[in-house]
Amino acid sequence: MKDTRALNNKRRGLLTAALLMGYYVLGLGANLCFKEGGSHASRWLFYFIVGNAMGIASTALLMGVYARMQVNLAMVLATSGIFALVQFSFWLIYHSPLTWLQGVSILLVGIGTTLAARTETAPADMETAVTVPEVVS
Amino acid sequence: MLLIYLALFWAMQIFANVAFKYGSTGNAGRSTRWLIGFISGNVVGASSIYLLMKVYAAMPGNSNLAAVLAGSGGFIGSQLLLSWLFRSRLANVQWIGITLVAVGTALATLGSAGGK
Repeated sequence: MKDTRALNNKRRGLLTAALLMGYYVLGLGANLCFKEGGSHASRWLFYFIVGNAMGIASTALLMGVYARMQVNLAMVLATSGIFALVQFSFWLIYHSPLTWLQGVSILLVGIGTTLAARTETAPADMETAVTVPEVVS
Repeated sequence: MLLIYLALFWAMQIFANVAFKYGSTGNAGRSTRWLIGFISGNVVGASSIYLLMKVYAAMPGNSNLAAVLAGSGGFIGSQLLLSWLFRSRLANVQWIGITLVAVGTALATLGSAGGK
C-alpha cells in the first residue's frame, strides 16, 4: 500500500517534471520568434504566428503543471526557467551584453528556484487541493 | 509610450495566468472550466505578445533588458494575485525562494541599465 503510494507519487513527480521541461522548450522557441519578429519588420507576421502557436501549445503544458503543484510555486519554476533560458540564449545568439550584475541576478534566480522547489510545504491548500510532488527541479 | 505598452502587457499577462490556474482547478483535461481557462488565457495572452514585440522594437539596443522588464512586472503581479485568489500556503523557505527570484530579475534590470 505504502509502496504503491510512493510509486504513484514518483510517477506524478516525473510527469510534472516532463510537463515543465516541455513548457521550457516551447516557451524558449516562442521567445526567440518574438525577438526575431521585433528585429525584422518585414517578417513580423510570420514570427508572430509561429511564436504564438508555440506559446499556445506551451500553455496546455503549463496548465498541467498548475494542476499538480501549488500555483505560486509552479509559476516561479515556469517563469524563472524561461527567464534563465532566454537570458542565456539571447547572449549566445544575439550577443546581447551581460553585465556582472546580470550574472549575479541569474545566480540569485537559480538559488531562489532551488529554494522554492523544496518539497517542505505548509499545510495543503484546501481550496485547490494541490500538493507539491517529490521530484520537481 | 513604452510605459503604456509595458503596463498593458503586464495586465494582460496577469489575467492570462489567473485564467490558466482557474482552468486547471477542475477535472483537468476534460472539463468546460479547463476549456474556458485555456481559451480565455490564450486569447488575452497571445494578444499581449503584440505589445511585447512593440517593447522589443522600442528597445533595439538591449533585448535582455526588454525581456526582464516585460517578464518581471507580469510575474510579480501574477504571484500576488494568484496567492490571494487561491490562498496558496507555501513554507517560509519557499517564499524566500520566490523573493530571491523577484530580486534577481530586478537586479538583471539594473545590470542591463548599467551596462549600456
